[in-house]
Amino acid sequence: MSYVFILPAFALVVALLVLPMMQNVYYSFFKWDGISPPLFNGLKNYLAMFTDPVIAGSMLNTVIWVVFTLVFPALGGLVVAVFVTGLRGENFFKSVFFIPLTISFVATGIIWTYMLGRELGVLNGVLALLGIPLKPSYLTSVPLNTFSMIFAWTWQQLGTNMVMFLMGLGTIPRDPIEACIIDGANKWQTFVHVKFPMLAPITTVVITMAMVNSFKVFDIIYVMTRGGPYSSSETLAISMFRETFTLFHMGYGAAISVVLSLIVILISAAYIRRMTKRDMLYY
Amino acid sequence: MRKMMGLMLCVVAGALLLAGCAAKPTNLVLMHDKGGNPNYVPFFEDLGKQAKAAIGVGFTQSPYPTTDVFQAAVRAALPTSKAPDLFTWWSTYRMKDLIDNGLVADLTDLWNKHKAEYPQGLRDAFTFNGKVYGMADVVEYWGVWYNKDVFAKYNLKVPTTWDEFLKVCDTLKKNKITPMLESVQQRWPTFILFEEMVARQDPKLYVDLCEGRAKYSDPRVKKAFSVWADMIAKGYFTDPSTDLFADGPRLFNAGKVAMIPCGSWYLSVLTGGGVAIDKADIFVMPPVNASAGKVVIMEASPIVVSAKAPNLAAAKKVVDWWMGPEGNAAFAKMLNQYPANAKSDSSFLPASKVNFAKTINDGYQVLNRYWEATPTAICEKAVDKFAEFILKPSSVDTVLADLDKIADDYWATAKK
Repeated sequence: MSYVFILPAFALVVALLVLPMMQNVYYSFFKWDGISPPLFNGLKNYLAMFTDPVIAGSMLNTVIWVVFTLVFPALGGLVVAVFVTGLRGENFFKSVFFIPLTISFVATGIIWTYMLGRELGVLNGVLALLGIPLKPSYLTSVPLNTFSMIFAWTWQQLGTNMVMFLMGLGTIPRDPIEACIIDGANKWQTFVHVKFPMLAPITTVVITMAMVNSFKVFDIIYVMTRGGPYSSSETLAISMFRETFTLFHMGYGAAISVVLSLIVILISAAYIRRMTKRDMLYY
Repeated sequence: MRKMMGLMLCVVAGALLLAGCAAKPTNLVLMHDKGGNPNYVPFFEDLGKQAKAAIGVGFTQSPYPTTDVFQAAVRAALPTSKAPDLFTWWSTYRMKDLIDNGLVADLTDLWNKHKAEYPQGLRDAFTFNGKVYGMADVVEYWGVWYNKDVFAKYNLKVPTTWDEFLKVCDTLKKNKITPMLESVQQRWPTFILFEEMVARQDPKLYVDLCEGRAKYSDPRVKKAFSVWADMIAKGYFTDPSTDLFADGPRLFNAGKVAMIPCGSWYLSVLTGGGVAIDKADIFVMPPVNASAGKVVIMEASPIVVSAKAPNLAAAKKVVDWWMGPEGNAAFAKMLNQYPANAKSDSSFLPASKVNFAKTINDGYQVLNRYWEATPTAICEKAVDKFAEFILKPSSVDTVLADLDKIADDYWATAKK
């Protein structure tokens, strides 16, 4: 009977995800412009990735995105969640950090493109008002453009992680914390030795989501720089889009997406596997 | 009796079927990429209604906000039964692979019908192997839009020689006004200055470069880049992060940027951004090398009919009307653009565009825009290389070597 209930969802996943993925893998072995008949070319698309300087740059940018996405939105979410709890006006501050989450990535990209404009941007306007003789080109200077976009991403994503960590903090039982306080531990020691270890399950979810999202980050980069100038801010997802839908190298684009998917699946699986084993210690 | 009843039922069913078929409206779809900035959605909507009123067949639209997503969607749809009846596209090399794959309807019969209304050069831009594909809705030319108030304030005149042009730039710079807008945002605008610099150095070199008969490392190309680099070094351009559409009209209106090299269609972007129509005027950039002569860049944008259009006959009927003097003028009028049909009414054009057309008709050599004049595979990568040069002019040798490699790789395998 259970099979009947899972059948609709299973059928949708197979039709809309599994089959297109298999088709994508199939086309990754072809040279194809999307309209002419595809020509089989074996592993050439995969091998070409190793000698393509744009892909090397995209890979580096992707790693930068993953690392700094873990540092800023994920760690930042934890810090905000910890400090905002119990604060006077807690709900107000939570709302302030949560509001950007209600805005789409595209809208976030457009807002920050205007904010970061060199000539008419708000940020440079503020610098000028303060008499600071700086006028950075946030979106065309390399590598400042990548970090500017990570900043915009952090602004949007911080609220998600804050909410997740608030949920985690809310589920920690009072007993071990009270025992810790009775034993004379200060707030920092309580956090490091009791709260943070007990947040491990939610930390696993936050870090996994942050990694997956940063590997596949697309919308905000596409809106703010389109991976430019001269592919300097491209990540693998943007390279895949550019090769597929701008240059119409469908096979090469499919190969990039296969590699990107494999990286995400392998890293996420390894991390979840390791963390879930550790998490069992606390339950 | 039973047979009679059966016959009557068949007749009724047949009549209902026929009535159903007759009542089914022909729903033509026009796909286009002008659904963002610039936004042509209201214009196409209006034109669809005008076509319906004039010939009984109208069209609805399927707009896309960005060019790359639009191109991908059209290419995916064209080989299928869901192909758009009509779609906007670009001439020459941008059309070639669609035509090579038999995805575009042959419109030679309509071009023959309207032969007296179109110049041969325009027909040639859409001709492949003796057949004509796509119709020209508007034809625009590329020049330099300038702020008349700023020019008047500093007593500047429209330059006719390169020295005069540099003097204008110098005067503006000394008065703390950025002479020209240059942008790497949205990728494609980087070719604007490239084509101006090379075509004004040597128009034949420009054509040869586009068609693979010259190298990007040619000393004449390098000379064109050195002129461009010198202008960048002198601070004649805005920061390259300036956006042509979002920032251009505002900076122009505020008098912070005096000149914007762009197509003559940019007037609607300026006025849409709050610039008064009589505040802007346009001139052709003077030749860097006097022997280059009078040269202007042309952009002919076609409306194309899919070979697999679900309503092919109705689509051609709309194109026939749109190609004619009435339809062509109707669309051009909404956009303040030049109608491609020479017999169309053009009295609606603002003075700046009327004068610009007069100038061009005074013996100018017309060249195709880089976007269409060179193969798409080269152009799409070249625009990133131009951006690299704009941001790092010292990288010119690497950029030109990379451009040679991109072009060589293409021409080595291309079906010429």
